[in-house]
Amino acid sequence: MTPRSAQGYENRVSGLPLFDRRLIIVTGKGGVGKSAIAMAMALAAATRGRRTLLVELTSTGTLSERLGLSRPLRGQPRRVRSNLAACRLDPREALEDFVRGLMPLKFLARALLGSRSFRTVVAAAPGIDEFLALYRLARWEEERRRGSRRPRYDLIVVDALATGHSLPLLGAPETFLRMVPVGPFADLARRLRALVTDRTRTVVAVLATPEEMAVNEAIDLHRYLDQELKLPLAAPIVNAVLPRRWSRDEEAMIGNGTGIPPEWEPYAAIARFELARQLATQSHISRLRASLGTPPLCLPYVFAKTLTLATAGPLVDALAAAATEAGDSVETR
Amino acid sequence: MNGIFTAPLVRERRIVVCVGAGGVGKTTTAAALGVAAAVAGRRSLLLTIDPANRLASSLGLPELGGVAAPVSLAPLNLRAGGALDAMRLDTRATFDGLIQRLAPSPDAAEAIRANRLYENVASRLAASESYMAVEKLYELATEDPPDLIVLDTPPTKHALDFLDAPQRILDVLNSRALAILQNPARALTRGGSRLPQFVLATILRALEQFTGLTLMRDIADFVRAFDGMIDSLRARAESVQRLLRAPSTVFLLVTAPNTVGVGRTEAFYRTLEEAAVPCAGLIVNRVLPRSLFDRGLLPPEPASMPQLPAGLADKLIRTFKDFQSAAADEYAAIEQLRERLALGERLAEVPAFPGDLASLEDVARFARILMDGDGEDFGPTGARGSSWM
Repeated sequence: MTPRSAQGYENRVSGLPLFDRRLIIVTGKGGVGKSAIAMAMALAAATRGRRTLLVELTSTGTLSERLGLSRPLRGQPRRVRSNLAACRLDPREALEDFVRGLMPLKFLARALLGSRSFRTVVAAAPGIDEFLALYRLARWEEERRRGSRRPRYDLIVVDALATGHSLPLLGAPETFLRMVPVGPFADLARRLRALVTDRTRTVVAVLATPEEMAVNEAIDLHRYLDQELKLPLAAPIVNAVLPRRWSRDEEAMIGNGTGIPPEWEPYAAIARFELARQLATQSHISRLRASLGTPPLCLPYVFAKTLTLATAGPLVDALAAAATEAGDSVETR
Repeated sequence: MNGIFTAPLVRERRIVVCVGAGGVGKTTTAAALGVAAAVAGRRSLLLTIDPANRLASSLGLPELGGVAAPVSLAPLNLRAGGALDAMRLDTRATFDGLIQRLAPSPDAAEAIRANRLYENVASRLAASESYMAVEKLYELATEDPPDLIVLDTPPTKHALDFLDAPQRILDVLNSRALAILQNPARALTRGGSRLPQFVLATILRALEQFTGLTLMRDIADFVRAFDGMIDSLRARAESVQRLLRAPSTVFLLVTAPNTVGVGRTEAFYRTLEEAAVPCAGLIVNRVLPRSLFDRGLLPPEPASMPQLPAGLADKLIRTFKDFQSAAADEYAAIEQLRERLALGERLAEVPAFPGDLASLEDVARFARILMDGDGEDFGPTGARGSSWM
């Protein structure tokens, strides 16, 4: 792994183009807050008046709880609030959708889908699930409003899987094309690749928390997506960055405890704990910036048990502000 | 009193498997358990999945490779016989080795490795990593085993993703899939379709021509190449499952109070129970330190407190309130888990380190906290204590 300069990146998009793309894919290591950030992005876009679809990819996702829904999300998009719908991508539905599109005769499609052997083969073929998931996303992207040429969803935000699983998703067209280079399937794979690599429609956001492993993974992932898959990448996002609330003088006082009366010491100890964390946080952010040659977008740590529609406010604001600042322009070189 | 729960595991068991979701500090926990075992005088081996560079360097290794390398624990007081080796799982090499070992002939092994689907199965399927983790564990445990092997596992959302991995990979390679690929029409009719065979055969042939699916043939070749060794693979996978459920093996569920919800940790634990896997208990990492937040501290009344420079008092109070409520949530979550899973003493807590684990000293400190109350002597590192706890 050799460090690369910023100039080495060909597919980077400036900032976070939240308001003029069609598809945003949020990925990163497990536990860095992908679903919370995906939700906050969707909220920011919906608040701006964009019709947004928030898609969860795993059956163990937390979106329905975060959105305060009484029932788990299903394959069919469901309205959450004005301009915002959500759903959970169901691999079986994706397969059915795919087979139906492939076989115009309904009874044939049913026969194939009803066969256990067929499902075994589908499970066996590497990358099929991911391919189908991408296919489903592309179908939503293509959907139009009734009686109109305008898209049904202006923006689709995907709460993608943790790195190990989202690489196969994003690389599905490539994987597929290596196995099946010609024919209608290959054409479809090329269409899907065209969607995910189209910098006017798609952007991938790599997320990390300011921690060693999460940052390592974000760096590797960012490079891989850029160099191998040629995907358009937003600035890397660092989630849960503690607020910088102390002046230099205060930092010094808290750090060595001088001038802190004993009555205040237990509270200063807590501040010291926060300072130590902040120091580690800053060093990870610097490392990420140096490795990728671009300043990451930092999102504030939110002191809340779980991030829900109600508590995501600071994140939504930060994302909306960052998106506006980015000017939504594609970097040209 | 973490030690009541953890010390016997580290002293008496042969295999400790750390499982849990991603981002909860599983790898660090595994490393600390390895160190603790070495301090207790055992020859231990740490098998990790994808360690942070810093963890490798904190163990004094430039990087962890696929072969066990000794870790120098010189600054620690080891009991006689104590030692630690560490290595990283090399999924692809382990898979190659397994094929080499079980293929009926060198030609058969070569045929598999040359198939272009093999690359996908061996390196890209998420389940393969889990499969190879237990396969490697089995190799290590059956060929000149150390006193204790600590296995760090790939992050999984469901406990069963890890345990079922060998089965899932074998299903991919099983004879049923082979049947459909060799004679799809017959397999499909057997699978419940009422269409006459010749109709299906025609459709599938048309489908293959239409789609240009050489993929089907590739899969067929691949599965056929595996055919001769499926039985030995399955037999071996069964031995692995027995090893995982042996009395000398124990699973530890690692979690964090904030990253993973109580409900999900509970579900994970129960799945282990249902799968008849001996789960010893829970290690909760990254808990906001009780020494700071669990001491009955109340929000200060600035009026009755000594004066501070302008603004500082307010910021201190704000910080206190932010963290205090986060800490209260964490402690409540831990008690909920203890109660719902009837864990009693079988729950160990490790406070959040403000920074990263940068040195052997840090890993040893982690180990000491895990073994806390056990009276184990970790030597100068342990004796020094720290400024923040």
